Amino acid sequence: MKTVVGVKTFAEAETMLRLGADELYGGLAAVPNHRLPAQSFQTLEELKAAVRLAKSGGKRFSFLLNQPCFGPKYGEVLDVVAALDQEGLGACIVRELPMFEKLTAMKLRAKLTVSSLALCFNLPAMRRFRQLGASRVVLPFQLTPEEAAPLLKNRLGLETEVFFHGDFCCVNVDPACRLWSLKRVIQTCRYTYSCRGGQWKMPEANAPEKMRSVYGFYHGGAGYLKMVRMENFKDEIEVFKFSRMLTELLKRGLGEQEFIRMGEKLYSTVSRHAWKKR
Amino acid sequence: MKTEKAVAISAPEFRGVRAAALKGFDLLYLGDEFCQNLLPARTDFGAAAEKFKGRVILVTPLLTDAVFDEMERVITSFSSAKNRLEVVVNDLGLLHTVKRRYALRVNVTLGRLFAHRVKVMPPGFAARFLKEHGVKRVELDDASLLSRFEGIKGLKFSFHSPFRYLSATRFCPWERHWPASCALSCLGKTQKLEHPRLPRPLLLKGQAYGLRTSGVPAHPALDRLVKESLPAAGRG
Repeated sequence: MKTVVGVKTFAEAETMLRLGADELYGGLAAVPNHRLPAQSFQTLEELKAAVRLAKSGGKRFSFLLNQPCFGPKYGEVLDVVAALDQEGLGACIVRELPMFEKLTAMKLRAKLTVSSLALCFNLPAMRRFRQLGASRVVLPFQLTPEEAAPLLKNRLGLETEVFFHGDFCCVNVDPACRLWSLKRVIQTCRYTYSCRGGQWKMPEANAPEKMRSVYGFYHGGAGYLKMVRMENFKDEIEVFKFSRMLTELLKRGLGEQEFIRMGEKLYSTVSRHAWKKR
Repeated sequence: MKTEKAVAISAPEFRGVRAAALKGFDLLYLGDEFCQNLLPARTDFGAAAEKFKGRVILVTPLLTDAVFDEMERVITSFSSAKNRLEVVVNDLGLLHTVKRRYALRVNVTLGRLFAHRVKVMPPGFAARFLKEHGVKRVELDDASLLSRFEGIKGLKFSFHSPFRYLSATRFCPWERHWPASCALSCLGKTQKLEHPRLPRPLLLKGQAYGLRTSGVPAHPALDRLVKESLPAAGRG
């Protein structure tokens, strides 16, 4: 599996390419995307430079268009895409159907990738996205490798990309999640709630389940492994290194149970979660 | 204009439902918008069509390939050009499949998850998208969304109460695993979740987190009320 890593500055792009990332992706603070503005490039010029850097090394840089942006600034957003395309942009990561239509009409050199937020859950949906011009699909976080098997093995010619579940998995269907509307703050999903009988946290996959996903997607044929963007770049480097360790284990041809056992051990000793616990 | 009354029941719940619970309703929403383990198989749908005197509507969530074919089988078994089946759709793959294969035998209703995808589209695109896919009705549980569909001619609305969804998960909160296996632990339960920073308690119902709502908005195109079952919270 090739690695696709999120970056938000030119320096981060340099670092990640030096560490061996196969592809990069990022957003621009002025263009709505699925992370806080602080987790995106702050200026178009710096983003262009990162695109050029990736291209000069024969690597792909993908630009995030994974949030609705059809308001008054829609034209400006499309101008940004056109400008990046001129610099050698590799792909746009797209969520909304009207955006697919618009970008296809623009006849970009950049390819179109279906965002995980576009919720491509099945082959008929995948087929539809191919008709809309997509060449790669990022599978939704909330699909297991078993459920995703038909997508991973698709014969539609579409590449598949999966998030690195070994670190993190959003179990709520993110584009359909409006928990933020309760208080206009994010991550109310992380609260410890009280309920009859005690406390309640919205459950998420535990370490063995995370490892099972990593194993399943690797052996299921996913082509690309994606690291989420983080505010703290040191954390992101740790996650990238952790993914490398797990990939090395997978390359050894371990059986599922053995991989889960060893992966869980690494998760509890060297992953960023283990460091934070300490 | 007559307002239709509908009751929403998942397939496993329907298997044990008493006839009295269905009395007074014109329509039965069979299935679930948030969990594919609560969908009817053909046998369920057939039994519901016999047991319920009114029209039965197939309700579907996001669908993996594992259940997609069975939903198509329900559609082909219980629809025809003369007896069109109404299907609540939340999945792009199903929406597209219905358009391609079943446009003459299915009335498409846009589900609550999908409504949020359409509300952000440019109005002209949204109107064309709904028309192209034969969408005649939109399911809502949030009155503020009505205005987002203004100007789209001929569109009708259903309104769900007393539960308004805010988020949906695929990692079962009741059994704490991904959805492949299911012991139907959520049936007949609602969990009330409180936090001092939140103005109101959250409710967990099936695979959806949401709020208890009251009141139904008045709107000329809102002609259907859907009653969601909401067992007493906290008995989970």
